[in-house]
Amino acid sequence: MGFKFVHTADVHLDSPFSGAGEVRGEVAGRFLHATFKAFQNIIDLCIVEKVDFLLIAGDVYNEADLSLQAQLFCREEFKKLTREGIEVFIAHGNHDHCAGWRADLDWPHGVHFFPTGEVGSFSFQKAGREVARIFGVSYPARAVLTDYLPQFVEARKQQTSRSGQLAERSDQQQNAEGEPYSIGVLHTNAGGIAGYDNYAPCTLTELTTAGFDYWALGHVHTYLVLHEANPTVIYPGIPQGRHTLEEGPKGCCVVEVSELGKTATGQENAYKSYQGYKTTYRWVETADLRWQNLSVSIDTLTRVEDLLAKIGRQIDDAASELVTSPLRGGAAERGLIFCITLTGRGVLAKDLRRSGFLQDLLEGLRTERQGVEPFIWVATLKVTARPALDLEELREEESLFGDFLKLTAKGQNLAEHPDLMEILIAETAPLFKDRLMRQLLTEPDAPTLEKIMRMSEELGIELFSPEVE
Amino acid sequence: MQIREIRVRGFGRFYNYAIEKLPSGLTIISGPNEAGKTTLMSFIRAIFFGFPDRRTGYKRHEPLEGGEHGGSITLEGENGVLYRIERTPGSARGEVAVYYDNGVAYGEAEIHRLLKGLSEPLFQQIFCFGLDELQRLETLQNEEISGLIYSAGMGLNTRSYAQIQRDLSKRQEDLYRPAGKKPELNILQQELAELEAKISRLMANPREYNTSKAQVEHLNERIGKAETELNAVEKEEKWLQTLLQANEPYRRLTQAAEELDALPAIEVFPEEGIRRLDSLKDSLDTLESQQNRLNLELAAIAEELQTLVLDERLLAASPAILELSEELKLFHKWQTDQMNLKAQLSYKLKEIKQFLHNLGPGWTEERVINFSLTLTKRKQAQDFLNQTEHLKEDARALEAEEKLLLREKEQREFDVAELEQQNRRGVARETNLAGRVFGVSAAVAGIVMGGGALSCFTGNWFQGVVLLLLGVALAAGGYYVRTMLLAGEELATSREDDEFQLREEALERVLDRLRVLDEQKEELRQAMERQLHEWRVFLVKDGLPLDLKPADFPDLFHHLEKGQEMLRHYREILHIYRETERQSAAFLQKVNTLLQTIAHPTKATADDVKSIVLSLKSVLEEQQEKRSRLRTLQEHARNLELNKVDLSFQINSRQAAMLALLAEGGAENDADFRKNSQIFLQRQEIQKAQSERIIAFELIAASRSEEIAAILDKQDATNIEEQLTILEAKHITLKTNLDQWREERGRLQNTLDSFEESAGELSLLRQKRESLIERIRQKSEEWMAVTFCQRMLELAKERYEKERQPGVIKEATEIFSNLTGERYQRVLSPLGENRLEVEREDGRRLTPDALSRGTAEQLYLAMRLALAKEYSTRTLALPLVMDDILVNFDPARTEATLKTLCKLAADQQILFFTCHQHLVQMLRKQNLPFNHLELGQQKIELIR
Repeated sequence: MGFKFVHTADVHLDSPFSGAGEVRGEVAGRFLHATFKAFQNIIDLCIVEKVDFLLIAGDVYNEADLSLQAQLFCREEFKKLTREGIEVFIAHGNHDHCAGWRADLDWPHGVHFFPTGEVGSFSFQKAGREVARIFGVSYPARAVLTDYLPQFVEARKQQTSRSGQLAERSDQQQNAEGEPYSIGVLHTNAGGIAGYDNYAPCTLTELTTAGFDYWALGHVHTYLVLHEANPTVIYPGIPQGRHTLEEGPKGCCVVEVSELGKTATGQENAYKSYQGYKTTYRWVETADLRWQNLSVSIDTLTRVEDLLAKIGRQIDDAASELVTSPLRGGAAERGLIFCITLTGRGVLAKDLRRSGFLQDLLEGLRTERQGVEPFIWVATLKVTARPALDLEELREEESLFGDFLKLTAKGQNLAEHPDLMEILIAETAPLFKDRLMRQLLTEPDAPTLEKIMRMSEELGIELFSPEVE
Repeated sequence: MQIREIRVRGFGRFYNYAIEKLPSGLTIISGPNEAGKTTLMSFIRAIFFGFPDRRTGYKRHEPLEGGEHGGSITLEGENGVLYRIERTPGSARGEVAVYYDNGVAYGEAEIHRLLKGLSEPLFQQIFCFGLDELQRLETLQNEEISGLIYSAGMGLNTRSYAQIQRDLSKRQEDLYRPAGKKPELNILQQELAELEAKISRLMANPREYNTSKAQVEHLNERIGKAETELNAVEKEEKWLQTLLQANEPYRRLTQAAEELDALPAIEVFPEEGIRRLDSLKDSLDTLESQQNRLNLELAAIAEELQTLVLDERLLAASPAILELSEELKLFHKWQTDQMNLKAQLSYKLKEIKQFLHNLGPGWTEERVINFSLTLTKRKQAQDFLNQTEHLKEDARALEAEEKLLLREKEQREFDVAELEQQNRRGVARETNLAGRVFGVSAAVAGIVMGGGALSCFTGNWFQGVVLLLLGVALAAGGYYVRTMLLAGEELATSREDDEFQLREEALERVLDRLRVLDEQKEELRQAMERQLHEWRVFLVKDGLPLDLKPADFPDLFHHLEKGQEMLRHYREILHIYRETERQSAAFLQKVNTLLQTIAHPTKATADDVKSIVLSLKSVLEEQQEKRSRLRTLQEHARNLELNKVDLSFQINSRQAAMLALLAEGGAENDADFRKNSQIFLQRQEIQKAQSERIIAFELIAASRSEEIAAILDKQDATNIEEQLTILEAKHITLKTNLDQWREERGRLQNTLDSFEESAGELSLLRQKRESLIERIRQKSEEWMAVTFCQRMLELAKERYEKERQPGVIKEATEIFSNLTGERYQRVLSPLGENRLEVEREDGRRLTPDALSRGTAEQLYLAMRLALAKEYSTRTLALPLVMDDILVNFDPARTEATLKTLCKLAADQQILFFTCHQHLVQMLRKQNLPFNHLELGQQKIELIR
């Protein structure tokens, strides 16, 4: 018997946007609401698609935020699902781990939490028959360094032996008639993906050989299909991006499992599972607001109007892409948040350095798009564009400026100049004298320092240049 | 680059002043105070960099002696090319132009290009300075000095190292200062701290949430228990109350049952027995008394009937009597009318007689009445009248016209006569005048012609011919004039004839018209006669007198109308009078006929007829009344007889019914019957009350009536009430507790609700925190960028000092050593310290402020000369211009300085302004190569 479910993770309800600029009023409200709205989109999707259950692979909210609102909202949304007979299976991750604070709420019947620190399972029945068995574990603390895979394997074995159907699955080609589809729900960094804390570490091989049909993973904020089939291993990504690094479309997965007839063989269908199930999935965009990084080159531009027009064009292109995007789920009015970087070299660079100019430009871009559909917000406007100076030639000059440029060049290649890096770190010391600053800022690493050094170089060029008339 | 020519057009005290052919090498330009040395130096600077802005504090040197502000400097470049920089007034700085061999370029940019970006301050500090600049250098910050020095090799720009550093420091301080308050980052930190505090306050809510929630749960449990208990108590209370309510009805129920048992068992009794018995008895009594009254009435009627006797004849004539009595009123009216009419008739008759008399003889009543007064006749008379008037009018008009014509005839006759007389006088006068004119002209013509002929004769034929011709002309003219006059006269005569003819004709026309008038008059007269004849015919037709005029006819007509009216009226009245008389007689006849019919003895007359009729009528009415009474009594007696029969039947049936009723009530007589009835009613009442009591009891006891009856048989009300009191006390305690717990739960629930509400605020604050942190990070990076920039600049400077400075410093060392006669061995700049030090011959290091004024100035001079040399080799060799900078130098060092300058002048042109003539001597004595220009002499003394 076939069934259908939605797989999501890293909802991070009620977590604020960062790098969205100074927002007020309606815009601020919209931003605050975005993670909720995205979650609502998932719930709506479940109802519209008439799925059987919803899987959440951790990080529904940030426990550190103690957001009562998030948890209450969550409960209300779950009520909508259970009213429709849709069950919910939740594993807690590092952000909503079980040692954290949790509002004491009565969850509706049909909402299941996986046990803390040990793999547990729930049976999903349809028409009186168990069609799926869902395994999962919740984080007992923030930093979990245990590999839970062996526990998953063990739990599954016990389950199958208890049901007296299959104790061992040495031969994966064996068609175990009647055995339920097995799903693993886990918040993990599978294969040590860079940029994410290495919690509940495991390898892809571990996952693919554990005997499961579907791995509903969470923790990585980007949509990743680690393994196409037998088993299907997926990170659905975060449903709503919250900063410039979480740019692009964000969403969740709708998974459909259909049972194949006894005559069906592995050769005939690439997705056919060991047990005669066929797994198909599709990814659906759920984000209320899509973050979009734009890079606009000033290379050939000579007038500010041209720059504005160019930015406008790129914004409009992205907006029309959003509107026509085939991945859009539901009919919700989505919006776009742009992080724009002005790049290249050109005569406009000098204008961009003018005090207040960039802010005016940013305000202009925002005002221009106020109240239009779709919702558009320009969060940041950064400049890496430089004047059309021949820096390399200037660097070779035997002058104080030449010497300065030689130094800043070194400062942008710290791997080869560790002494300079030490000097720079020492220079930052006054900033770290303050307790609050120590909490907020991490001691800068080489890439950060190099980035700042590029800013210093630009500042130097500005200061050395004859003043703007 | 060398200055070859200075041409001042107007600058301070200089006017059209020129120094030409300035040589290379050292040139001493000397002159006394106020000769204009400093002005010239300012001039050079002004040509290069513009007239000083008033704000800078430097003098602008506006021309005092006239001439246009400015002038030019001719320079010779490295390659021997000459070009002239000219500055003329324009903007504040003036307008600058550079003239080359092959053209001219305008603008400061050209100068900038020529001087390779040399800035004015640098020029002034290194290439063109006086004692002021030298000393000012001393007072500047050490950093500034080194910045200034190093700025010579900064590259790219004109900004000094110190400026950039200052700029950076300012930016750094604006961004962040440890423990600062105002810098951006410090402010942001402060904001963040406040925000964090707020957030953590709100964060306490979620923690408290669970505690409160648990408390709510606990209370819910207690409330639940208490509610159950309360329910039980309330149920018990209700039971006891039911018992109490049931008590009273139950007691009454048992008591009544006992009473019923004590009464005789009469279970049946006629319905409403007593009332029915009484009613039978009553109706019997009534019927019997009615029977008695009937008998009495019948006897009275019989007696009255005996007295009533009727006059049948009179009664038969009743319609005639009634009719006469009705007509009696008319009869009376006729009598009265007769008298009035009689009087009227005699009056009218008199009037008629008078009228006929007035009308004249021959007029009788009949003729008046029959005279026809038709409208046609009246119209005919009117027409006659109108025609007569028309004819009269025509006659008047003809008379008037005749009068006019006769007058006109007289006039015309006079006109004709007058004209005849005039004609005879006019002809004589005109003929006379024409003759005279001709005579004169003929005479003159003759004289002239005579003259002409004489002239011809005398040989002067020309004159003669002329005169002859003139004579002929005169003669001709005279003839012409005469002819003209005569012609005019003839014309006048013919005109007068015409006039006469016209007047004759007019007269004739008048006479004609008079003749016509006569004819018309005749016609009119005949018409009048015809008219009169017709009128008489008209009168005769009606027998009217022939002298009657048409104008009198309407009066007559009117009169006759009135007469006819009067006669008609009289005859009408007469007719009415006779009719009345006839009716009165008829009435009297009718009355007498009636009297005979009823055998009345009297005969009526006009005088007593009224009283007779009236008495007849009253007798008749009396008889009719008697007859009607008789009939009524007979009818009544018949009805009473019928009633009598009916009554005796009713009495019999009632007596039978009464006996039956008594039997039904189990009694033989009235008294027994009443007693039985009493008992029966009593039983019924008790039984009825009993069933009500049962219902009341059942209502209270419901399904538990047996249980209740059992309890009530055992317990009394007081007992139950006691139990109830105990329960009620318990109830109150429970209720109080419950209220208290519920209230507490409500309070906690409110807190929980408020936590849920404030959750939104928390989100908002967190979002705010996020953007604040974002800004802090950004500003921190900015701060770091500024800091790193500062540091990199310092490092660059260090490197510059280490790797590039020694050239300058070495040069400065050599020069300083020379200037001080080797008393000072070295100039140095300690690494990382922006200051200079000097090393004395004894190896002691001194800072500039430890040096004497002169020595310090020598050090700075040495630094400048070294820098100038460095700049010259690196960028551009510019002429050095100095103004009396040696005043604080002792002779030995002065001499050494001059020597050094001479040496440097080999590579660079030096212009040295001074007011100290002895310097020239000193140079001469030393036999050094130099040129000398005495200001005011305009001649350069080439020493070598």
